[in-house]
Amino acid sequence: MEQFLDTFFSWQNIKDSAPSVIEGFKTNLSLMFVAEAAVLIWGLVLALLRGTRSRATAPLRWLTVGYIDLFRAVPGIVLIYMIGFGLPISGVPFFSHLSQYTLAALALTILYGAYVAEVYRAGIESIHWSQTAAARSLGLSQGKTMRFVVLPQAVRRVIPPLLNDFIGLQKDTALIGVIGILDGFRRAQIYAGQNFNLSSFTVLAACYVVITFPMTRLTDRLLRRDQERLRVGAR
Amino acid sequence: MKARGWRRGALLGLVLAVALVAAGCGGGDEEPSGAQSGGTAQLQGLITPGTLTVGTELPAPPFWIGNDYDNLTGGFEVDFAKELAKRLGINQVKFVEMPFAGLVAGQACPCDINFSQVTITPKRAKVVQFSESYFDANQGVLAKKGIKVASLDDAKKLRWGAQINTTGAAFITDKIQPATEAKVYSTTVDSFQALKAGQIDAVLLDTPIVLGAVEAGQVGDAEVVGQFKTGEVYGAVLNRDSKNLDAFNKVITQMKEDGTRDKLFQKYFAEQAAVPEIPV
Repeated sequence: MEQFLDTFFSWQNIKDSAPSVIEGFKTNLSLMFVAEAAVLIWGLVLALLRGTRSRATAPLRWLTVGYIDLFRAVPGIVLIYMIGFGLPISGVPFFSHLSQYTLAALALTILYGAYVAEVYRAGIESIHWSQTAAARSLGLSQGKTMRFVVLPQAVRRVIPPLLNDFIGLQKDTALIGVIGILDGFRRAQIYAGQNFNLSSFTVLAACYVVITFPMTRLTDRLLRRDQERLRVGAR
Repeated sequence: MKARGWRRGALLGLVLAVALVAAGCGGGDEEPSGAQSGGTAQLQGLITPGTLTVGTELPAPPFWIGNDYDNLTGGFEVDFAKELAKRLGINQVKFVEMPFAGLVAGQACPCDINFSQVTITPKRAKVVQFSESYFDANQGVLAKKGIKVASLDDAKKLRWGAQINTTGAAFITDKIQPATEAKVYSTTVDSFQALKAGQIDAVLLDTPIVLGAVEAGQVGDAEVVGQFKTGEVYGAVLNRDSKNLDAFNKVITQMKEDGTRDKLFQKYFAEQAAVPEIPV
C-alpha cells in the first residue's frame, strides 16, 4: 500500500514535476481551444454539404459522406502521426512548412470535424419538416431557411453532444506527443523516466480533470434543462 | 534418434565445461541434473524451459539485423546473446519484443535477459538489474548533410531531437543546453522521421545506433557528423526478481576476456572509430 501511494501520490514528486507538467499542459490547453474552434466551423461546413439535396451537388455530397466515414474510422494517434510526419516528409507545398503545433491542430480538426458533422446533421434532421415548409411558404430562400430557421433550433438542440465531443477532443490532445511536441504527457513521461515515479502523471491527470470536470457538469445541466423544457412543451 | 543423442552428449559436455569454468572447482554435485534439462541447471526460472528468451526493441541495426523477431539474420547483440546461451548450455534462443520506455521504467520484461543497448546509470540500476557491461558507447550526432558540429557552441545553435528517456536526451539537456528545447520521441525511428521532415536539425543517439540507421537507409540524406565521448557503457537488463545475474555475468566477463566480444565489435562496428570526436 505504501509503495502504491508513493508511486502515484508522492508529494515530493508531485511538487517537483508540477511546473514542468503544467508548462507542457499549456500546449494541450491552447491546442484544444484552437482545434475546437476550427472543428465547430469545419463540422458545420461538412454537415451542410452532406445535407444538400440538389442533383448538381451530388458528387460533393458523396465526397463528404466518404470523408466522414473515413475519418470516423481512423484512430487519432494514427492520423496525428501521418499528418505530423507525413506531410512535411512528402514535401506537400504549404503544409510541409507548418509547425508541429499547427499540424497537430490540423489533424485533430480533420478527425473531430467528421464526428461533429454527424452531430450537426442529427440536429438538422431532428427539426420537423413543417418548420422548413413554413419558412419556405413565407418566401425565405432555401439558404435563408437553413440559416434563420433550421440551424438556430438545431444547434441549440445538439449543444450537449457537441460538448461531449469537445471533451473527447480535449483528451485526445494528449496524443500529440508522438510527433515530438513537449506536451503535458511527454513532460510527465520524461519526469517519470528520470525519477522512476509516476506522480507526474497524477499531476497531469489532475490538470485534465480540472479542465474537463466543469465541462461535463455543464453538459449535464444543459441536458436537464433541455428535457425539462421539452416536457413542459413551452417554446 | 542418433542426432539427438549426439546433441545431448555435446550439451552435457558444454554444461560441464561451463560449470567447471564458472564454479571453479566447486559444484561436483550439480552435473547429473544437467543431462535432463540442458542449461537450465545454471539458470533458474526461465520463461520457457530449455530456451533463452531474449527481449529487445526492433529495429536497431547493427545490433539487430532484420525486422522480424523470428527471422533475424545477425547483429552484435543477436550474436552475443546466442553465444551467451551456447556457453550456458542452452541451444534454443528466442527473441521477443520489449519496448525500451517500459524497460527503463522498471516494467517486467517477458524475457530472461534483455539486450537493448541500455546505458548503465545508477538511477536505472535502482529499478532493474544490470549485467556486466558488454559495450562501450559514445553519443553520435546524426544531422542533415551539410551541418557542421565541431564544438559545443555549434551544437548549442541546433534544434535537437532524441529518444525519450535516453542518455542522449539527458546529454542534450545537461551538457549541450541548446537555445531551443530538444524534442523527444517515443522511438528512434520517430526521431528520424522528424529529421527527415525538417522539424529538427540533429538527433543525438548512441553512435552505433545512428551509424546503423544510416547504413540501413532509415534516415534519408542525413549522416553521422561527430560523436561526444560520455564514457557510458551498455549492460544487459534482467528483471528485478531474476536470480540469474551471477550466471550471466560470469559468461559475459569470460567473453570479454577471451576476445569474443572484441571480435564481434570488429565485425559490426569498424566505422565507429572513424567518427570524429566533438570536444566538450
